[in-house]
Amino acid sequence: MRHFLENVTGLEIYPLISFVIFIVFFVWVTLRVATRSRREVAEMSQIPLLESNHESKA
Amino acid sequence: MNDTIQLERQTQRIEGIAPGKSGVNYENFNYDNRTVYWFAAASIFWGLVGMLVGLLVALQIFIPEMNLGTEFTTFGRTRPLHTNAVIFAFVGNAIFAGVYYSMQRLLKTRMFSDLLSKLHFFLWQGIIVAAAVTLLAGITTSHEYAELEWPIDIAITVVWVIFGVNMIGTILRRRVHHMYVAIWFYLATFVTVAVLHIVNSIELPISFLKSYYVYSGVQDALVQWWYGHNAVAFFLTTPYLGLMYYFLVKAANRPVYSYRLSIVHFWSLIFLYIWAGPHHLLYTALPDWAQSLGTVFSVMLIAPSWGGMINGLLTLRGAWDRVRQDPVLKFFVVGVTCYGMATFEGPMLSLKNVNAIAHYTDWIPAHVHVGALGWNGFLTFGIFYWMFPRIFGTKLYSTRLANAHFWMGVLGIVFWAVPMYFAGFTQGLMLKEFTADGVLRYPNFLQTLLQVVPMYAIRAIGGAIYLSGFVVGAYNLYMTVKSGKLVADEADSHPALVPDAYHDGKYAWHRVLERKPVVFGLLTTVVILIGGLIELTPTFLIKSNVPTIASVKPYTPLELEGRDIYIGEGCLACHSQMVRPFRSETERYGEYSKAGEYVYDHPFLWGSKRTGPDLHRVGGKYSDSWHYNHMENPVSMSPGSIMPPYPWLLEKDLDVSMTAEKIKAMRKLGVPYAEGYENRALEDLNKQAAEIQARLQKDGIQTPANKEIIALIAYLQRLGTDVKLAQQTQN
Repeated sequence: MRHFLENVTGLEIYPLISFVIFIVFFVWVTLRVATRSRREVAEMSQIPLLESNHESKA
Repeated sequence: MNDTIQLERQTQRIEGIAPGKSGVNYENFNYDNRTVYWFAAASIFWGLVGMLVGLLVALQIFIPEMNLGTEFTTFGRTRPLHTNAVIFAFVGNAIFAGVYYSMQRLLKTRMFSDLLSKLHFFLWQGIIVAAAVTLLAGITTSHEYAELEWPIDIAITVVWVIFGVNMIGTILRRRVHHMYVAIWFYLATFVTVAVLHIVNSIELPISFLKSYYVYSGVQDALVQWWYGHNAVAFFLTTPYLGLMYYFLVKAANRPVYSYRLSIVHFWSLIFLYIWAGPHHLLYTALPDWAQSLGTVFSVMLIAPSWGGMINGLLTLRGAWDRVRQDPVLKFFVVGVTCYGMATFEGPMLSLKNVNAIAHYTDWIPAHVHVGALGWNGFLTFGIFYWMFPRIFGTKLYSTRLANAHFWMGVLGIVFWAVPMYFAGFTQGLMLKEFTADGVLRYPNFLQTLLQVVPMYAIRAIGGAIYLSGFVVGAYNLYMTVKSGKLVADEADSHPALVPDAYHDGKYAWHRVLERKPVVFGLLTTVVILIGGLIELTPTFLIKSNVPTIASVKPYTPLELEGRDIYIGEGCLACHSQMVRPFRSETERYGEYSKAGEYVYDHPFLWGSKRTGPDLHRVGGKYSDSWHYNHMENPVSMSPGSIMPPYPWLLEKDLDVSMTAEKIKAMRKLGVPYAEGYENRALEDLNKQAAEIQARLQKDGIQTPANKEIIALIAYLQRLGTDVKLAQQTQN
């Protein structure tokens, strides 16, 4: 009974598709991120620390 | 190039100012601190209420007298009040406070609309009050963490849209080009919670405060736990990660450890989280492939979760000496560590062999509370201790009190969680233990429960310590507020955003994306929809392939009314209706549960925790009079039972004014009641009630047939009997 979905054809493709999508997406993000310039990354991470004129200092 | 010029150029690049024009006109504007303060104050107020109810619930679970003898204060209703108050009122308001504070400063602009901010605040508090009233009145849909009835669901949708418009409007009006990582997490939170809430709230209203879910049985379970799991992900996790990336960085006064890691961690987290819901349904009647998918993605989830934790903790590199002195950093360090512990434990609990023991036991609340008390609670107080002095232009009233709060909180978490882990292991293993002769060593569920009652007592003490710390924290913040004055409109200035003012043409793709909030939001939506769709669609499309079991029939009108009493009293807070396919369970409860048995269950009532035994095969196990006496006073039938008594069920008349409507609604949802049956429903209802009344009378119990208890008995006696009876007939 718990295997009632076994009769449905083509179902095993779903988990497979999911994995492919994830792996491709993950590898793509990782590669693109890895190739970002050091300077740019350093700048981005400074955003919350950039104080304007009046903002209360930490 | 000297440092000053370099810094100036860097600022220009980030903020989109044309090079060599540092003398551009600065625009003056004010940050709205009033809304931030309101949300923070509301968070503290509701946190106190929610945790006080939590303490009450912790006592009620092992001292039946603490249920105070009324239906409004009994565990089945107070427990959802506690969970809703803590999640949506305490954490919810804290999220909004933190988001409103950080977003204005990260984007160098005031919130988009003061009116929307006000509406957001007041409507959200209104929803909380409505939730408290309806939950205690027994008005509930039964879906955990989504118990509120349809009019409140609509109100939540409206408030969420208001929040979204205000947030996106602010982003579009920003004075800096780039959306910092915190903002991505806020966007993902907004988008995903919207999707989750809408999909899990599709109900067919039958009156102003009563509805049935359109999904039934297995589908309903999958939707609910897809929602339930992702409510944890996108209400308790992603917004807090966003807050961590801002407030931890500010408090430590150093940039995040790795911005690259934050990008990878963000996208993988939101992609993977959405798939993991089925790990709440392992070994149930949910299709195997969906269970496996949930397990695999849950295990993978540890990577981005720990990526976030590591990024948070390593941000403090070189600042650990300050952690010793600064209570804010102490709260953050323990909070982030608790996040790491809970997100290690989550994947572990998703392994089927671990889940087989842990599921339905106190291990799960222990896991949840490490996250809630540690991650959400500690981060919230870290943020408030940092933020209150700033928006009130003063200093924190007392660092010593903050430190005292910190240690009380830590002790509270330890005393809460450790006994519950112990209780979970103990009971989980006892329930599975067989003697050498192959029979259950503890055949009576109560034997295993009484073993862990002392742990419940220690847990309540842990909760009391944590709550005491909370009171100290609230007092400290109150005194801080009194010592300063709210800077309601905090002045700042910043150059206006010049569209593409400075662009060296070499921006990486993600940097480009960070400048396009709408595209970013859409991409986030696509990413979270992939998992949701692939997981949910097959289960819905192949509905016709769920083998209908010929002997499974719709509930009779009386059973249907009894079922609604079961829902209203919150019975599923302690009782599951899902016998898993283990020998220890089939020996104890009977035949394991099958998907086809739930096809008429709108909503499903599988439950998620067993403080009492499973009830799926309880039908026919006891006599009607046993149930009658048991509901009036459980210890009369089960000596030592910690179940609360429900004497009002014996007194209250059954409300049958909606019976016909309920039958019609069920037919609309696909339950095969014959056309026009609603007109004969009451006749059948009275007939069945009279039969139960007669059986009770035989056992010496005199009661009118129109009492609620009669309907509840009818429902309980029906549970699981479709399959039982079919087997008896075959034999």
